[in-house]
Amino acid sequence: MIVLKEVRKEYTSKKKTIEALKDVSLEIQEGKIFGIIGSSGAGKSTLLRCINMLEKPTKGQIYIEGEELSGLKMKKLRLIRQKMGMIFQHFHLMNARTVEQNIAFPMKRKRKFSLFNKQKNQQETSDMYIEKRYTKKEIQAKTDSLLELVGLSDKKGMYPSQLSGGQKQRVAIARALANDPKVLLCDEATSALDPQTTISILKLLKEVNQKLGITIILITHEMEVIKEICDRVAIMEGGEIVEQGSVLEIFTHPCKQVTKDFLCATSNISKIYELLEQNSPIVHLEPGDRLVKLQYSTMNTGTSIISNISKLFSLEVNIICGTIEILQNQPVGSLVVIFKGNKEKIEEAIKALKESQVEVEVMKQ
Amino acid sequence: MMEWLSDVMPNIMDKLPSLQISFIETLYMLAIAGSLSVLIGLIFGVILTVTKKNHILQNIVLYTILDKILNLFRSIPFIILVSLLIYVSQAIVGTFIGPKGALVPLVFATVPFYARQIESVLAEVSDGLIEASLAMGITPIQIIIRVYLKESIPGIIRSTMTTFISLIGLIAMVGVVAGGGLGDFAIRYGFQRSQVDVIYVVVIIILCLVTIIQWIGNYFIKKYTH
Repeated sequence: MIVLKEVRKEYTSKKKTIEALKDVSLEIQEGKIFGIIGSSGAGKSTLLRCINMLEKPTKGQIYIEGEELSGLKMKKLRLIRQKMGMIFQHFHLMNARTVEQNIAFPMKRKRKFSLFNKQKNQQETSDMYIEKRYTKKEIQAKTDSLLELVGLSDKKGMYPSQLSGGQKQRVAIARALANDPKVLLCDEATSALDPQTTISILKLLKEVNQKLGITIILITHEMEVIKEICDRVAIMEGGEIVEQGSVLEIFTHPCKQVTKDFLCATSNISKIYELLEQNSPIVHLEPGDRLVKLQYSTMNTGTSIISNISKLFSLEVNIICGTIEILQNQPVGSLVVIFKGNKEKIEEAIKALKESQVEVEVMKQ
Repeated sequence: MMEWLSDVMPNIMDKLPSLQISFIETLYMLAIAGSLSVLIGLIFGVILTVTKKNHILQNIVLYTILDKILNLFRSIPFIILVSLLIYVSQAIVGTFIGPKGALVPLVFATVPFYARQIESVLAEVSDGLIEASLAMGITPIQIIIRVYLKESIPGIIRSTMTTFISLIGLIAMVGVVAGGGLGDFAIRYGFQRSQVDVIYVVVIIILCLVTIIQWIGNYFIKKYTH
């Protein structure tokens, strides 16, 4: 488990102090995929870098598996970092090394005379401080298995300049996994990739999470990424976490405006507001008609609401726009519809919808 | 053949043994001063890079001192540096004349030049790559060897090549103050006795030397660029 307690990070220049993180507290469960979303400058990148101490927090504590990081000496910190992989937006591969050599890069060779070191390691209380060392053969075997995991076995002799963006990120993932980390930190790992490649990289991350049980912390500015693989999500704004919860909760019941804005960006529901403003013929209503936004989630939508309403109350239901997402195997939908028909029947229909836990908002009548 | 040569360049033909000695002296200075400068310059270049602000072994004091010293030696014209360093040469190699005595000023002049080039080559290694290495828990020494130097091999070869070529120029100059070598030879016979053919031959030899250095350099640059 990863725990952050009131982590504060300030950058001081001559003129003023900038607070990049304002007392952020966070708990991340082991084996989960945790997403942090925010627009640029929200402090998400700083937060991620604090977790492996690439940025030293001004104040506050960070615990990885119960080990407090902020007081650690460089030597121990390096050992902890070996247990945390990290991947980046721009991959940061070494151009002078082949794919295979890049992946083998973080693995340390076994010392020829390691008596002294062995004794030292055995005194350590936590296995986080034991440095793994490999023989040449072990490195070769490990590299091969990682290449297979990321699906690049046929590219092992190539140089990064010969690879596509998606392939480069796969190499970076394999490299990050070389020392069997417990945590994988992803810094905008898919932001430089096209949508299709993004999906394939996210699938790979999910596979890594499930097969190897590695906790993944990823930061992004795209709700799509969160929706695709995360279990939990935190929304950041101005150096603070303004909202957090399971992805399902956040998608169905967003509280803060930022969250709603991020959600809007992924659905086409927001278009309806433009249409209403322009008084478009698409949303033109006959007297008695109602324009209604329906939001539903989870199991209550197992029964087909639209056709039921239409049949039961003999209404004409005209769907204007909508999105239906599958989140953690549950459908979550928003629909904008026009009800046409008897005025009382419409009222009854809305009541019935509310009773079956569909959120109803009358937008125009 | 020999007759024809004696006809075309009479002055050079009776000085062949002395030309040979001059050539070997130049090679000697090039090899010793060159390799010493590369070694020391590489170390200084690395130190400049890693001790800079926000770099892996930040040390402002060390950086500033080294920076200023290199600037100082770089701004002194070479011919003045040679006279400035006569006592230093005397102390280090026991003499300040001849190829051996010339080594000290050559190294003093070349090291700052080379260190600056290495500094700019290493600056091209992206900060992101260094950050990634730090995130992997790699020690600073390992980052220097396995990332900074390894990633910059083509650039390092290129600046080594440039440095050797400019060193040939310095070696010719040091000849004036009794340093020996091809420069000395050309000045003594070609300039002071107006034996123009001597100058032509020396120019051709130096041209060949430069070309060979460039061939070797380019071969390795091509080999290590991916």
